[in-house]
Amino acid sequence: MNAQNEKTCKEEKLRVINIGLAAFYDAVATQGAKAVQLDWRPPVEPDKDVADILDDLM
Amino acid sequence: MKKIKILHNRYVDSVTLMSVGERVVAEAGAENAEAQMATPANLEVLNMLGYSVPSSAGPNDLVLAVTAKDGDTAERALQLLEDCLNHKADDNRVYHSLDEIDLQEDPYDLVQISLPGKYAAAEAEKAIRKGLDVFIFSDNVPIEEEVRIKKLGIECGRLVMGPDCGVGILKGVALAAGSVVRKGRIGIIGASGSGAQEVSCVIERCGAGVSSLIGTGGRDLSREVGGLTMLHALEKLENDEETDVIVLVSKVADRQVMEKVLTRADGCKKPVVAVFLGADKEMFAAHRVHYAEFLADAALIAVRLAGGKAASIMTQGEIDALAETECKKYGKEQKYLRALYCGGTFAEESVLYWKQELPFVKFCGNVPGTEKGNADTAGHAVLDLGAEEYTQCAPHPVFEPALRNAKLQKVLEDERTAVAVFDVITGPGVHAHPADEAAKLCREAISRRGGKLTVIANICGAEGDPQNVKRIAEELRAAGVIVTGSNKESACLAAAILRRLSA
Repeated sequence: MNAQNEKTCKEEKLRVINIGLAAFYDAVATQGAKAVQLDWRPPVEPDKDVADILDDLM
Repeated sequence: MKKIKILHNRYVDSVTLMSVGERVVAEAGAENAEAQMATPANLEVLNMLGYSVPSSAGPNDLVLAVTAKDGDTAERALQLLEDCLNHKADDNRVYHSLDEIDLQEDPYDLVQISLPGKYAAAEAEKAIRKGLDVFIFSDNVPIEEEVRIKKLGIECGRLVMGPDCGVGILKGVALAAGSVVRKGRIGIIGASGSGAQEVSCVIERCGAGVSSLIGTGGRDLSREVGGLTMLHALEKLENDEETDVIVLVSKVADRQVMEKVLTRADGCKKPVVAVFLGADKEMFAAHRVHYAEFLADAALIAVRLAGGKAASIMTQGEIDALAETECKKYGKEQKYLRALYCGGTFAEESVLYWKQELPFVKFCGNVPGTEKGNADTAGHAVLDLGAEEYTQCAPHPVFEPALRNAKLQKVLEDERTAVAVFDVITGPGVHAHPADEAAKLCREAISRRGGKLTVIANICGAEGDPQNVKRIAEELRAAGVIVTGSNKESACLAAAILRRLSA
């Protein structure tokens, strides 16, 4: 396979952003797909005391 | 010496967390290494292991805990634990959110989401608004959120697969727990993960292939969701130049929604096959869609429609002859069928078949058509080991088959078992050795019982899967297991034996 064909084949594969199970990132990457794993963080939930104070102020 | 590190507001999935501990023990020389989200249940386990986790740690925090012979080893182990959990992109960048990726410079097609359900819809919405398709493996997403993001997807021209979507194949790449099936001209749309995977793998076994497998999630054909993704996917595959034949796969669902989907399929310019497991055959009479009663039937019909030749691996005559031979082996106490499934749809398909063929036989288990009771001690028993009652406290058996193996061992040791049935599911996203332990257990049990035991297995997998399905089949056969060509064939053989046992 020449370089151009290789590039075409690679470009035709799905490109995946994975959020969550790292095993699914590995699974996609090992199939030759372009893949990236997000180092995802849960959204910060406001402290209940702070939320209560804010509620009182509003 | 024990050391602890808390990473605040950091999420890592439980399957990954379970795998890193062993690696750190082996590579860093620690005596024990744990990485756990700081939920009350995990904190209790860590406490039992002698770790004192600060009370400030909450469910959104990650606890790293190690035990080692000295401080240096403990530090090294902690660092390795943290490194194992950090994922870097090819350019060594770490992205924390979709907003950090410049999609113009660095384009992607799809976001695959397997976060806890309460976070999944928000990430899906972000992805759709950025012009990306989404595949949501997560369950426990509120149904009103599912409807909202599916409508948004249609509005933006993006595919929304899931929530609770187990398998998919797009542009030749298998997603989540799917199999790497040979490329071909048959497109599949599946509201049942293992069901759609079975159809794709039987298609490959017949020498044909799959253009795309679009999962919809298990609730898509409910009254509330109204088949939004199935209808959208049908339109996509109807206009897809690589697809000649379309297969729709679902368990029985809302009657009106099934009718709506079939009516849409009637107008499709390509042939459509539909298998809605357990649905009334009469419903199909008014439609042009090709009706299939069971999963393997749908695959065979689709292969023929695509111009290929398709046949079951075993004929009914061969099944009857095999059943006759097996029945001669049993002792007086051997009366029962015990079936253990990782794929929930396989359990349901088998029960549907057995209830139809053997209406007088009662089954105990946890799937529709069975009676509740202790399946370990009951007569005939059918268990879906991927059901919530098992996955609440252990990984799904396709990711970690330990629970299935423990149940299989019990079934094989029970002197009353005549026939044991199980499934093996392969694919790049599931356990690397799904049948090794099962083959060993079968070999030992069949040998100990002088061959007087029937064990039947179906391998739901493709030749492109990393587990090597041919090797698995050879090892199971060498262990004395009868390896069938589909779940339906397993059910047929078990029924043929049971009919003779009950006569």
